Order: sequence, then C-alpha cells, then structure tokens
Amino acid sequence: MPDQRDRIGVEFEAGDARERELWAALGQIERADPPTRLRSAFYARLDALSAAGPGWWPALRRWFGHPLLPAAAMLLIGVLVGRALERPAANRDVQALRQEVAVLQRNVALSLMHSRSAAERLRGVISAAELVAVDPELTRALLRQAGDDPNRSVRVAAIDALGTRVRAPDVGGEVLRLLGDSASPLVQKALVDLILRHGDADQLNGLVERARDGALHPDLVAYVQAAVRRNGA
Amino acid sequence: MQAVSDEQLIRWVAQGDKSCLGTLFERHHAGLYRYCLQLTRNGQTSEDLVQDVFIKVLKSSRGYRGEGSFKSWLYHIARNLAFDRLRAARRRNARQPAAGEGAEESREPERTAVAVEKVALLERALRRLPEAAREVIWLGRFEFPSYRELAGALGCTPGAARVRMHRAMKQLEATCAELEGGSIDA
Repeated sequence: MPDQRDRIGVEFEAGDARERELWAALGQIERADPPTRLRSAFYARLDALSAAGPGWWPALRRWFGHPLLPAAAMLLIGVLVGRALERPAANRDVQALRQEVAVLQRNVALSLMHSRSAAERLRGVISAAELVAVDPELTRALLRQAGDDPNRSVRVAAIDALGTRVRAPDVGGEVLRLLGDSASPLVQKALVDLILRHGDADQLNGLVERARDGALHPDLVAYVQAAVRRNGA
Repeated sequence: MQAVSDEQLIRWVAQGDKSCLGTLFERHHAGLYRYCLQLTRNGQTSEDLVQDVFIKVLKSSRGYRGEGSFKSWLYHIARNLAFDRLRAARRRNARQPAAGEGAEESREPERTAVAVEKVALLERALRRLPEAAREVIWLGRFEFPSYRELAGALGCTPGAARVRMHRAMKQLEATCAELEGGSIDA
C-alpha cells in the first residue's frame, strides 16, 4: 500500500469542491470491457508464435538420436524439479499457480466456445472436458453447445464433455429434453450414450420412456432396449 | 491479492514457461485495453495493441530487471507501442476520429440524469485533452494507486508524475468549464 503522501488522489479528495467533484466524477466513467474475441485472438497468436519458434524437442532428438532418450532425460529433469519443488514455499506457489492455470483454462474454454470458428469452439469444448471442477457456468456453456451449436461435431463433443455432470437433475433433465428436440441420429446417439454411461436411475427411466414414445430414431430404440436389457434394468 | 506475484510470473516466462504469460494476460488485459482505448479511441487498434504488448512482453521478458513493479513495466511498454502507433497514424494522416467507443457502453440504470450528464460531459472533455494529459489521468485514476508506480509506467520520476497529474487535472477542469461555461454539473 502506498503511503498517504504517495497515494494518487489524496490531494484532489482533500482539495476544493470543484477538484473533489471532478475526481469523484472521473470514478464514475464507464469502463469498456474488452471484447471476448481479444482473448481468443491473443491465444491463437501465442500458439502460432510457439509453433513457429525453433522447437527444442527436435533439437534434443537430433542430439540424442533415439526418440526415447530425450523422454528419459525429460523424466529425470522432471524428478529433479519435482524434488526441488518439495520445499513448502515453492509448493504453495505451484499450488497457487495451478489454481490460476485452472481458472485460465476455464476462461479460455468459455471464450473459445463463443468463437465463430467451429474448430475453435471444438477446442473450447475439449478444453472444458478436461476441467474436473464443478462449474455451473461451464456446464451451462456445454449444454448450450450441446443443444444449439450449428456444427454437429461440436454438439457431439459437448455432449460427451458433459460426462458425470449429467447426474445433476437439472442437467439430466435438459439432456432428456435435447433428446426429444434433436433431429440428428448422431447427436441422439451421443445423448443416449451419455445417459447410459453416466445417468442415474431416473434419467435411465426417462430415456426408456423417450424410446417408447417414439422420440428416438428407430435404430436407437433397439439400441436403448438392448443396453437396458444388458444392464438388467 | 494474488497468490503468485506478477514479478514471479514474468521470471517464469523469462525461463521459458509461456503458460505464465497467459496468467499475466488474464490479470492485465482488461485494464490495458481500456488504457489503449483512452489513447487511441479505437477498439480494433486497442485490441491489436494489447496483443502486441503481451507479445513484446514475451520477447523482452529477460529484460525485466525487477526494479519497479511488473505492472509499471507492462504499461510502459504499452505506452511506447501506443504512441508509436499514434505517430504512425498521424504521419499517414488517417487517424480515426474520436469515437469514444468506451462511452457507448450501456450505463447503470440507477444513475440519475444529472449524474449521467455530468459523466458524459467529462468524457467529452477527456476526449478533447491531449493524449499525454488523458493518459496520465486515466492511469492515475484507474490503474496505479501511487505516484511511484505511475512514474514507472510513464518513465519519469514520481515528482514529475505528480506534476503531470496536477497539470492534466487542471486542463481537464478548464476543458469542462469551457464545454459548459462553468462547473462540470452546470
């Protein structure tokens, strides 16, 4: 914290009425948020820069000749670094950094899912799938992609990425709703697999009902019945 | 309060860990964008500048000596790049007119009409100021709590930063008065 004399604003806050008013009014100025595309553009540029740079991996391979030797060397370095990081202070730093990286990955995933490019949205979905923490915003984003994404591959990937999140009643309900709404057999198959793999008893019952109601593609009806029989439901 | 300091992160970037640059980007890109927007009055240019700044940070990370805060160093880089771009734009005589994109954002509904008017007037006055005055007010009001840190960003002494800030505030006050013929809430 700066001391009082060094702090900016003290003199204006303590100045005459006009200065005080001006300083206070400045604080009310609307501050524009950067557009979400800035984040994706920056990471794309960073990726491109990393890809264009001289790779250390091929250089190591050239030096060692055998592709496994660099890997062994890296393992050794990893062990040494790991031991060095066992110090408590360093551990705290690494822990904190991991948390920040997770937040970063989450923000990047959310941002990518808003991209115009289907490939970027797919990257966002894949990135979201790797995050294990329960995050309602991320789940909502995945559900949105699962239901509304114009690209079928992204929809299927988002359904897959929902994974065990489907056990939450609201998510499970939404997945069952999507099952009725979706016209694509491929998307329906992904939704069915999601429920068969991760759904609870209620969701399984919901799936059977949908199959019975004729909401599913005919081939999928048989698929669901066979799976339910196999599971002894 | 951040668990890992910016200064530690930039040291890791210098050692080759680019993922730490992402963390620094997440922490600072919004403020930097607003600063660039104040200077350039152009959203696209500001987006480009923010990216350029972080790429420059990556390339110059070994040059960070830790003498001041990372944030001051970051804004100093941004300042140099922004002014380079403004100079180039002036040379091409194609600078965008002051559009005030930031000011077009939606406003809090609970603000009174008088307050909205006052702030709108202030924004107009800010746009009229020379870039040097506008930037020092912006940085001093929103980004840096102390003259020492502001000085790091401006590349001058804390005493000079204080003088610039006071001078800029006087200019702003005069411009407001000129626009409204008196007090800023007249």
